[in-house]
Amino acid sequence: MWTEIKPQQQAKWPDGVRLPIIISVHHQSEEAAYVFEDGQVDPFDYGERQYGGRRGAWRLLEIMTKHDVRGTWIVCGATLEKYPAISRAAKAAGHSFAGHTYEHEMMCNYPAKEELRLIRKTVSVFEDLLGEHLRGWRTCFASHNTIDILLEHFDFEWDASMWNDDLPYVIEGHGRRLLEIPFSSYSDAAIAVLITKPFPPSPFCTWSTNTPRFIWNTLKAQFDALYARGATKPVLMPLTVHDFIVGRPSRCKILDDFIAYAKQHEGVVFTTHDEAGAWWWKNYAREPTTPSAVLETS
Amino acid sequence: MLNDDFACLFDCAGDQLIEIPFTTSTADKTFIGYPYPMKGGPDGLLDVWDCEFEALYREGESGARFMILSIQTWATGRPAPLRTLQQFIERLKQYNDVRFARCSEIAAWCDDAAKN
Repeated sequence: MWTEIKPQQQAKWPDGVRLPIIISVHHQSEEAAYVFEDGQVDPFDYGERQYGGRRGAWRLLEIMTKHDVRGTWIVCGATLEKYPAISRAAKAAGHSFAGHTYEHEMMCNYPAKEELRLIRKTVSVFEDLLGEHLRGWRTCFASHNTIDILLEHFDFEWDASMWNDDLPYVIEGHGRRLLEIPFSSYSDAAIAVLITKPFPPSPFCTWSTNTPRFIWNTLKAQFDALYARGATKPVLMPLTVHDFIVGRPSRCKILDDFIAYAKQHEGVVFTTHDEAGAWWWKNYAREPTTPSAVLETS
Repeated sequence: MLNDDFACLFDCAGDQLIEIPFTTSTADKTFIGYPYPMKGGPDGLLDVWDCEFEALYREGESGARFMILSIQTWATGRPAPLRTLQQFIERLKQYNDVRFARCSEIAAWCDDAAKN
């Protein structure tokens, strides 16, 4: 069991930071490819998604490098095993990492014991192939057990699996604390394409797909609203891009244009969950400031 | 295949095959096929094609790129999308370093590249 801890003071970002934007690169490639009832993987969907590992992830890294911005790479364990070079390049470029389960299993469909096993397996892949001890986690569709498992069995500093708030919050349980950094459905999986059942949505396309201008309009509307609100209140813009969705050229151009647009605004900072999390812990200044400190004093 | 931007050479059972992948992300039927409504209205296709071209053209400064466009007779063949295609082709023809090629020509280039 766990409870939410309220900040001890008016929560805010550091001086000069009006709107932090966290780009989460979901590097999962073909892990969630559609499987027919007879157990065969749909080759069409598999190919669409495999594009993410072969090309899309590299294009996303290139665009972020071009703009000199860093984000968090949310990577499945199996994807890291198949395409280690891209994660190593992202690490060398200074990006942060989080685990995204092993084969993109939807954890809401798994018992707690299996969820624990899959998280452990993913964590060990990061340590073995990337030399990375994960500080963060984003599950694929959290279960009712996810937070308890993260608190009880791991030393993650933050989780970013929840959709239920605009701003981070601290949760406490099993003798330690964890920062939840929620995200939103304003991600490419919702605005660029809609992956639905029945699948495919029609005989004429793999997914229901929106135009680049639609994606641009949605991102800009969200940014403009948050930037205006950020003049007086703390705000955060989570921006989730999947390697196989926004990694395509026509959509990547929108990410390219959006970063350029956002960077023109004073106080906009592209950051990582690691960095934004460290900022937010300071709002709990009368409390221990890091999860490890909590462990030492509890 | 749908899994890449560029051609690749398969070695299969003593013979070779050049794979030239395509994409549904710019295909006309993705945006104007049934079920309606068409995505992005009448200008949607041009928006998709323009963005794809601009991204690949920029990348073409530093590496080999090609843009593949899948169009259906029953979709782009209709008057409004056909006009969109005409406008798009006219725009591309203004570039002296853009070439319209057949798949066989792309395959020949790849074959040469593999040999050299």
